[in-house]
Order: sequence, then structure tokens, then C-alpha cells
Amino acid sequence: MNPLNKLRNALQSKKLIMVTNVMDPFSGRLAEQTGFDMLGIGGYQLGGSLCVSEPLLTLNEIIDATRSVCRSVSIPVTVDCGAGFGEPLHVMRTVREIEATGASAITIEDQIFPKRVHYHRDYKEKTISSDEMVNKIKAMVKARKNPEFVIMARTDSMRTEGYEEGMRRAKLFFEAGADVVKIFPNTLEEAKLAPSEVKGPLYYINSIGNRVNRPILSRGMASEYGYQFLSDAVGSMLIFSKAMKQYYKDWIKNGNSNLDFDEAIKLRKEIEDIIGLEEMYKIEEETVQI
Amino acid sequence: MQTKSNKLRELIQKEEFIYAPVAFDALGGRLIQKHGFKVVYCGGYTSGSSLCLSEPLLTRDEQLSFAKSIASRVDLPLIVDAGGGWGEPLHTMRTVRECIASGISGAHFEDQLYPKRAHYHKYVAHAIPAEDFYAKIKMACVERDSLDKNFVIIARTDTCRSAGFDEAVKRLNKTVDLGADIGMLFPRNHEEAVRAPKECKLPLVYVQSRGNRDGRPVYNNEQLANMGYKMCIDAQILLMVSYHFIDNALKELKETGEYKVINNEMYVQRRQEIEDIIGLEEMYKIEEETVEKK
Repeated sequence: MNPLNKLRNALQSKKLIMVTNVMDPFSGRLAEQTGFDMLGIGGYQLGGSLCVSEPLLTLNEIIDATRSVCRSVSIPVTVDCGAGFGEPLHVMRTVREIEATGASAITIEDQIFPKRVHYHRDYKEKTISSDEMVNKIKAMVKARKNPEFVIMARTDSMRTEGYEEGMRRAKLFFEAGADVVKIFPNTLEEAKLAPSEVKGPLYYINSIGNRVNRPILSRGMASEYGYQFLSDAVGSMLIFSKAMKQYYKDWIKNGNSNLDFDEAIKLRKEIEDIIGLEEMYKIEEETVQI
Repeated sequence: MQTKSNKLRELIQKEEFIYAPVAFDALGGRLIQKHGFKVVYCGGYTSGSSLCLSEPLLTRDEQLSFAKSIASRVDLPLIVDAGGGWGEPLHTMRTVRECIASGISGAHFEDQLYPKRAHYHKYVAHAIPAEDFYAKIKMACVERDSLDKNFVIIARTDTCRSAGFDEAVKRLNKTVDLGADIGMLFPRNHEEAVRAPKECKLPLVYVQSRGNRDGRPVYNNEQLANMGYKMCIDAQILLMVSYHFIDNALKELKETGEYKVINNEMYVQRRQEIEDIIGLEEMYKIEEETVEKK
């Protein structure tokens, strides 16, 4: 079954789909082997790993990252494409490009374009009107080649304009053809209430380490409240940063990476298995002299 | 060693008039060099057309990939069309940074609305407020000054049509104080084309827009130099010429199964020229010295 069919089946099952945003193909494969149903490519992590920030990220940078992850895994990948890189005409190109990478889903939000870096500090996203966003969603629906390709629409209006406006937009987005809507409830109460107020599947993003008390849901809570997706948007990067910082400190100070010798051998084999070296050895053995 | 941006700056100071034809691939760039032109231009119209995308849908990475592939294969300085800078001042700064890292020597930044609209090709250009334009140019210059002071910043205004010639001149003159090196505007008629170099406080580029349907005058280089323009960018020329001859050739091939405009002797000669321009001879030498037995 191709990744897109897997995602469509998972959507029909109504069971909670666990998502983690990955940094690169390697972390994608690692997540796949751990048992995830879906992977995400997120702007925060990609913009961060390139040290350009999400608002300065280009469409091509996202395409490159997505393509490299998609060709390395066999589970669906969903891609955060910010504000879609422009007006409806640009959004249509964005959808076509992302669909062509092999991704199964795309997200476009109702923030202004070009995006501002300030939203990382203030969490006060500047949004476009709901009419403009509805036009973008209609353009997305029109642009996808495969009608199964999953269109996710995200509203950033809950913080600035309140829960009611966010939910009003969620309903409009579904009507315009979005398959999934992403929302950012401000409180646990709002997070609990939202899924019962719309007919379509909602996507909840755990933004750990946010500085505005955005609620963090457990798997159990997300499932109980009725969310279709629960995603960890920045966890990979936080864990990576923490672990690498410790390692760098140890290594520069002691010339020691603090890994047990036997454990290192085991890890290295795991890494090589994830890359798929065994299969490559076989091909070499069959084709060239070793 | 003299950098290419330094070379461009020197040319602007020393040469009376610079003619920069557009290229959309490295081979075109090398041909421009072969014929003795001193600057090569990489435009949005040609890149956007070459990808069948249109300029307004062209991303920075795509445009700079054209520019980089040309700049890296020629000794001439290259000026790139950087459109609206791909965003606000912050994005424009990244554009300057990426241009410099790509071996590009100069770029023009315009006051059109970003994201750009395809409608601009129907001569409907929406301008951003003057203050926003100034902020873009100012920060582009700040970024230039921190990375490569020789990188040439060209301020381009598209306001002649929407707000009038005087507004366009006013905008360009303001950018002088912000650090812009050259100005670019789009006179709507002969009278404005003559007035522009006289009224602008910075050297001007004239954009030769061949085949435009807007009545915008097309001049020869002598006329432009006499009017006081510093530079001419011939924005579509190589694309138009390629398109014209390729289209004719394909038509003839489809109809007759042959293309007789070029005879066999010419094919042999041209093919040798192409291989010389690519530099195959030098590669043969390296192979002979290393892996290929004589």
C-alpha cells in the first residue's frame, strides 16, 4: 500500500494518528521503525536546522527536505508549507510541487505572506482574512492532481482573535474543501471543546516549550477529546540540541564521547541497518568483485 | 585577485556605457563573453519562461540557480534580477547574502508588490508604499556593506505607470541616500526616457524590453549613451533569438524532415565551437595526464 492510501485508511479508522516532525531522512526512518503512522516536515525545525528561521525558508528548501525524507520511508509524510508562498496562484504551485515529492499531505496556514520572524517571539501571528484563506484552500483543492492527496488548513487566529474566530474559520475551511484542520487552542478547556464543534478531523500540535501556556496533550487526552492527529512539532530538535550539547561538551573536554564501547558497536550497527548497508553489500557482491 | 563585484564597480566608474545582454544558461553567458561584452545579466522574465513557470512564480532558489550556473562559468560580472527581494526587508537581506555567496556581482530590487502577480506581464504593476521600498533598499545596502561592499545594488521602481514619472524619480533619488548604486525606472515614452537621466541623481540602467506591448521605446546603444544612461540591460534578447530560430527549425523538421538553414559544414564548425566554449580540450589534457593513455 502506498503512503497516501495508508493515510486515507488511517483517516477512515478514526483512531488517533501519532505524528512526529522529523529533521532528516535518518530521523524519519528511525521514527518509522519505532512505529509512527505518519511523519511531519515542519517549518520550525527545518528553518532551525538550516539556521535561517521558518519565515525565511524557501519553497525549494522545503521541497528538497521533503523529497529526501519521502524517498527514505514508506509511511505518509505531511508537509508544513507556511502560508503557501503567496497568493492563490503561488499556493497552487506549492501544492503541485509538494504532491510531486511523494508527500501525502500538505498544510497551509492563514498567516500573512511573507511571514514575519516576530511570531516566534510574540506568538501573535498576523493573519489574512478568512475570505482570502478560503480562496487559498479552494486553490489547493483545484491544484492537487490526486483527489486523495490530503489538504490540511491551519488557522493561527485563535490566539489573536479568540477561540470563536478560530472555530468559525475551521468550519469555513472544511466547507472550502480542507480534509483536515489544524488549530491552536489557548487553554485546555478550548482544546477539549474543539473536536465536538466541527464535523471534520482536527489536528493537534504539541508545541512543547512554548512560552504562552499552550496546552500540551498526552496521547490519551488527544484521543479522549476526539482529535484525529497528535503531533510533536519541535521535540526532535529539542532532544537533538540537548543531547548534542552534552556530547560536544564531553568530547571537547575529555576526548571522550561518553559512550560505552559495546553500546557504540551496537548503535553503529543499528545506524548501518537503518541506512540499509546490508542490502547494498548484497548488490555489490552480486555485481562487482569484492 | 580582483573580485567580480569589484570589476563591476570599476566598470561602472570607468566605462561610459555598459551593455549587458541577458543569459539564461551558461552557454549563453560564455557566448556573451566571447563577443566581448563586459557584463552579463540574468533576468526574471527569461528564467521564468525557461522553466515555463513565469517570473512571479519563480523562487529565489530557482533564480539564483540560473544566475549561479552562469556566473560560475564566465569571467564577467553578473547582475541578477532579484525582483521584490522575495519578501520584506529581512527576506531581502537573505537574498543579498545568497547572491553574494553565489558569485553574483549585483542585483536589482524593485518596489512591486510581493508576492508578485502574473498580471504584471499585462502591465498591471502594483507598487508598495515608498517607505516600504526605502526600507528594503536600505537593508539590502546594510547587508551588502557587511558582506561585500563592492556588490552593486540597483534600485528599481515600477511606478512610472501607476504613480507617474515624478514619483518614480522621487523614489530613485531617495535611494541614493540609502546606499543604492544605480537606479532603474520604466519611462513610458520618449520624453520621459530623455528626462530620466537628467533628473535622477544616480546612474541609470535602461531596460530594453523588446517586443513589449506597452509602447515603451526601444533604443540602440548609441542613443542610450547619448541620452546619459550608464547601462542597458537587454532583458529578453537571447530568449527571443533562441525561441525564434528553434521554433523555425522545429517547424521545418516537422514539415520536411530536414533543417537546411544550417548545412553540414556549418554543423561541424558550430559543434567544434560549442566544444571549445565548453572547454573540452582542456579536459582531454587532464585525462591524458591522468587516466587516458595517449
